[in-house]
Amino acid sequence: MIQHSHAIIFKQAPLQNQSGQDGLELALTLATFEQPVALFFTGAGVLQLSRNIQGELAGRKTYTDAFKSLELYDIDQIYVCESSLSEFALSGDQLTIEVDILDNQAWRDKLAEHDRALTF
Amino acid sequence: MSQFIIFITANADSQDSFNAYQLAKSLLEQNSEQLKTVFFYGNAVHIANQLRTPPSDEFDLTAAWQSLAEDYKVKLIICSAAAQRRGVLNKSEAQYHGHSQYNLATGFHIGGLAEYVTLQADCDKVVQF
Repeated sequence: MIQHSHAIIFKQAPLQNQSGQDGLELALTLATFEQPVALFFTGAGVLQLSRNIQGELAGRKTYTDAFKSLELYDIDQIYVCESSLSEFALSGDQLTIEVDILDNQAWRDKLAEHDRALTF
Repeated sequence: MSQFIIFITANADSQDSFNAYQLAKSLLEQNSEQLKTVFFYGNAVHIANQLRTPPSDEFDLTAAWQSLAEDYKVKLIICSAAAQRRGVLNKSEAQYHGHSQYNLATGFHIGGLAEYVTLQADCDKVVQF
């Protein structure tokens, strides 16, 4: 199978809608088929990685726990937009997983390295 | 010629959903070989609900996709997990889940993310709406 490097971009808050879970499931499927995948979190999307999300309180499953299993799928490129993090008063150590925090220029450069971008 | 695949996550009622159809139509009219698959994911799967019944003086996007699938060889694939969650099921799925009715519009096929991942590998361009 021809490999295309994928950027899956998360822009929306968790629990608000199905979008984050949809993006995550696509990323895991791509990785299963050995397509290179990187995850990008920007805007309210950075909240997807916030610790202590309890979906059950909102009548939803805490699907965000599955972000912790990215390692098992060999997904290790996880990028978070620095200005979005500060917009939501979050720091790297308040996130569920280890990420690379990028400033705007580095973000654009990193995104440009990928063939395909799908936004959720 | 580039090989395209259209990936739709936009809600069936949104303008993006219509834009996706317009791109598909113009690609097929230009050269029907350049678009073989349209994949519907997330809220886009509502388009495959046979029971969508817009007022008669409004554009029927479900019917429009069905005509495209009939006129060209393009395959319209609906993500099964996204569709079941939103109540769009074919006959065998409906029976499996103990429902007495089903509503997948003809011309649409139930598929999975794995199918999308396999098909996109051979395409030059992915366009998301």
